[in-house]
Amino acid sequence: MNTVLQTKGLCKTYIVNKRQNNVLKNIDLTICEGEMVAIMGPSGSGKSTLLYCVSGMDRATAGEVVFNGRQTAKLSDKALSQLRLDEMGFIFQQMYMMKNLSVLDNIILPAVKSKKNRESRKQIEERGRQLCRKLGIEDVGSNDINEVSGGQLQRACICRSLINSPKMIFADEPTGALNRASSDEVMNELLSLNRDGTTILCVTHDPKVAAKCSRVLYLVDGGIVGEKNMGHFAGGDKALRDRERELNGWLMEQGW
Amino acid sequence: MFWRILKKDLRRKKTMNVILLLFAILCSMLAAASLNNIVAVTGGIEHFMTISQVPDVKISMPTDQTLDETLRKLDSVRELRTEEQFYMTPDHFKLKGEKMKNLINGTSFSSDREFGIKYFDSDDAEITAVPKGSFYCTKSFLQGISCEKGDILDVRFGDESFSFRFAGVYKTAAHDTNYASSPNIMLNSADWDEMNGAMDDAAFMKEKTLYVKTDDMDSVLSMAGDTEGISVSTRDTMKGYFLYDMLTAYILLAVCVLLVIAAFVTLRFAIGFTISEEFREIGVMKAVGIQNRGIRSLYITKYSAIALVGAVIGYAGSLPLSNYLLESISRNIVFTGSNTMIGLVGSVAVVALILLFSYGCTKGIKKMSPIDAVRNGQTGERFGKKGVMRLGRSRLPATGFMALNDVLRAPKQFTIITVVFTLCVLMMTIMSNMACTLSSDKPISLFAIPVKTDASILEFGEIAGSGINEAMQEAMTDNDGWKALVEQGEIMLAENGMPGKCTVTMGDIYTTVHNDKSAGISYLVTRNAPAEEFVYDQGSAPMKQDEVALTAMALEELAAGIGDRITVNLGGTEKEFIITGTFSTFLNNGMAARLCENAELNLAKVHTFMGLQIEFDGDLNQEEIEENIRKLKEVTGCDKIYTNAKMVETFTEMSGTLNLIKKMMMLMTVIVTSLIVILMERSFISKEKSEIALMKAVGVRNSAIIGQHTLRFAFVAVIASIIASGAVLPISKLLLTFIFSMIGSVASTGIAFHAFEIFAVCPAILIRVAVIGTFLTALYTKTIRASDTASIE
Ligand SMILES: Nc1ncnc2c1ncn2[C@@H]1O[C@H](COP(=O)(O)OP(=O)(O)OP(=O)(O)O)[C@@H](O)[C@H]1O
Ligand SMILES: [Mg+2]
Repeated sequence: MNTVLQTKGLCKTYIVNKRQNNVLKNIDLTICEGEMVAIMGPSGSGKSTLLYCVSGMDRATAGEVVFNGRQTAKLSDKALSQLRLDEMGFIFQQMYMMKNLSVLDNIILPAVKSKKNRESRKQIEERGRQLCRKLGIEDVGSNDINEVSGGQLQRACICRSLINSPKMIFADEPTGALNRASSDEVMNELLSLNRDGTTILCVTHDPKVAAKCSRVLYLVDGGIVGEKNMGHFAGGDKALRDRERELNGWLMEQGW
Repeated sequence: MFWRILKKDLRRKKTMNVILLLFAILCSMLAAASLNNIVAVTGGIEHFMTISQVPDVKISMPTDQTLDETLRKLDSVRELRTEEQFYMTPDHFKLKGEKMKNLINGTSFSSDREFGIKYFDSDDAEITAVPKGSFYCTKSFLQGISCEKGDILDVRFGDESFSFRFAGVYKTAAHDTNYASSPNIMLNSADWDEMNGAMDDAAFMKEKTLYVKTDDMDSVLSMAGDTEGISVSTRDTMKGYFLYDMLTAYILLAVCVLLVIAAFVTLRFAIGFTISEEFREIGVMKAVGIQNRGIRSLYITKYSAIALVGAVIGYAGSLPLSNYLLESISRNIVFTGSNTMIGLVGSVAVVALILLFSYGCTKGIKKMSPIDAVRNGQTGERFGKKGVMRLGRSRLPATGFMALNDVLRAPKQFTIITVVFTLCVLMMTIMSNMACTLSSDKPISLFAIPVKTDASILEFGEIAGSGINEAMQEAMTDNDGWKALVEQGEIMLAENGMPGKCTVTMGDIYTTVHNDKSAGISYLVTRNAPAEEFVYDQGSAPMKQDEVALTAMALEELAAGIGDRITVNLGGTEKEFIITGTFSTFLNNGMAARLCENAELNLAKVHTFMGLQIEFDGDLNQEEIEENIRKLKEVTGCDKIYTNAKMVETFTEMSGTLNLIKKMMMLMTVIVTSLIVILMERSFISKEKSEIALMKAVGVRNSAIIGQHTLRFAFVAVIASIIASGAVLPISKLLLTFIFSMIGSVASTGIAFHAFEIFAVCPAILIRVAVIGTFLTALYTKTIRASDTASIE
């Protein structure tokens, strides 16, 4: 299988008040095409930081990140932007949106910016609507972003990350603000995307979410301390319950 | 706790606080400097005359007259000072080794033995004595030649030769120092005596000037009137010397007013901007239960600290700025330039305004629930449609859409910016219009010259022929003499192949009485042109011998109205006139009247004579008129032949100064505008940091973000340019009328403008400054990283 994302000796250091904080320490990670990987770990262990570094949103202090065969550190800002626009989708832990745009406009902004598909504005908007419908937020499309609930906003963020049909999606607790039912919908959406070939890297605190992934990494203090390969989830309630039990057991061992 | 929050705030929001501080400095600087100038200029001439101790009457007379002794015996004369002068023609002078070709008028020499009034040097310090071997001179002596201290002036006559070192130009409140007037040189009394003694009496005119302070002007004036060969100036006539200096000063004042408005609007923007930044934190503080009073005092302390520091620094900066502004207009006048108290008022006003704003804005805190505050003051109730534009429906490129959308989404903010930009363009264009108008023929009627005039001949030379020179003399001594002058003039025109009509305008000051009020009013007559040809603001033209039109100012002074009768003392004989209308003029500071074409004047006292005005036959274009004037110069041997525009320029002597000020104002506007643009854009960036980061995270390129930011300001600059273009003409007219009415009695005036300059160049300057300023500032967004999305509160 093709490797989509690979890191070698990835380090990230923040400096606050002249004190070094080594958040990521020598992370080696390989993610192949079609995988759906969950990252778990205690709060503050560096999960979000890892996501930023591998998605080219932040430059690593040391080590290298190879995305789709290209070293992100060597790309210009322009090329990196292009990469994020067309090949990556990002779902933030906090729900960031442009506050001057309506929800729908926020969702379609990347598509309007991208030159990947030669679509008319109308087609783009229609696609945005379809995505909204899929995630159950078609009613609030024309609202302002501070006029919708947290869960709706979260789903809007997901729509935005999907609008350019990226090769890989990075999700930082995509279900953090959602109730169980919505969370399941979102995960099913991600799963079906995954089945269609989109690679997904997803940070989560929820074992139920992680159980749907094909592989789980456990991060402690900026290092990957455990890894569990579970194979692709094919569906079925029983299979899911089994996977969950297995995962919970493993997490226990890791000190969850 | 309180202090810790404050300290942390100052440190963490360093950028915004620094920007607010810079805004405060900028505003305090502009406000203080402008206020200082406004006060200096409005105090203007009166102040200059007061500190110079200008007396009630100034009398010049030949040295052998003894009027001074008679006057001294009068009880009403409180003080009488005497200055003595002798006159020389300029061909005796060499300045820096060169003949002074441009100097035409005879030059008087005075000494420092007794000063009639206080004189000031170019640094506004009083001159108490002239060092031996040195000389001070009036501005008019140099005729624009640049002179350094120590440069040598050689004076030669007969076998005698003297040389003096230049000590500087001096300012005087009692003498006309325009280029057209007689210059004066001030010497040490020993030097003066030596020169005076060496001189052959016959060759040079000698004169005494009396400076009389009196409680009874009339008796002094009538005594002076009975003496031969003297000329009298009252305080009012002396004020007239500075008319056009004041014109420039008032124009600068008008621009300063705009500057103050711009400064305060900018301040409003800065504070509104920073306070809306704070809403979130205010909400959080409220949510944790801090009392409203506590929150408010926190912000007010912070803002007053910033305001105070800004005001102090800005005030310090205003001093050189204020001097710089005054410099161009204070060559002849000593202004209250160093009256720094009023500048302080400007700075204090800035502090007060900042406090007021922060007080007002934080007042809302009380009413808001914490969550309202967190949501930036939105209550969650909205009925109207908000987003005017939709990305999916728009045909604009994404960057353009985002820019326009931002502008429409924050209408208040961008309106304020538009107002500031509009003011900036207006400052440039209004200045341009004023400079243009004052070197155009538009204000010519304010000089009592017929509007149809194509050329004015101010004086005739030798070659003009004795006929015309005699006729000129006659016109000034006989009430019907003008007919000969006009005839001679028209013959001369016809003989030289440029047939035309001649008119003659003259005027004289007579004491005028209405009920118990009286005033000295200048009566103007234009011969050979019906009084109807002039413009009247109200009523109609005087057509009969006993009809008169007055200026609004004269009417007010006499407490009279149209239809009233006034009594005029025409030098001995009294005559009654009926007021038929009002008109506008600069002459005699606006205290003027117009009589009908054939009115009888007491010509012995004519003091205004505008030379000969010519209206060429047929519709000549500008080039043909210029060509005719060139021919006329040859024929008459006289250089002082002007078109109306040139006439205005020469009278006001301002186009040079104004063009200088115009350039200075443009430069200042550019600097101020770029400062404002940079500060505003920088505050936008700091406010929108998280959104910029988000855009980057989504994959929007740097160039698109910078483009969006630049476009926003470009939009606003274009809108401001359009508004300014629409407003510039009416506002210029209004301001110019106001300014003109300060120095004359003017109810309305035409204005001239360079369309290209005010509709194309100035807007282009603003748009360019806005675009370049934003672009360069927006480059800073490059340093914001995509991952900053998360690191922002
Ligand atoms: N911009 C930053 N500057 C300095 N330190 C930071 C910054 N962002 C994160 N950190 C620090 O890096 C460490 C890891 O943060 P990170 O956000 O990656 O944690 P996380 O695993 O995502 O936690 P959570 O599950 O709570 O989201 C934390 O100790 C945090 O304090
Ligand atoms: Mg996180």
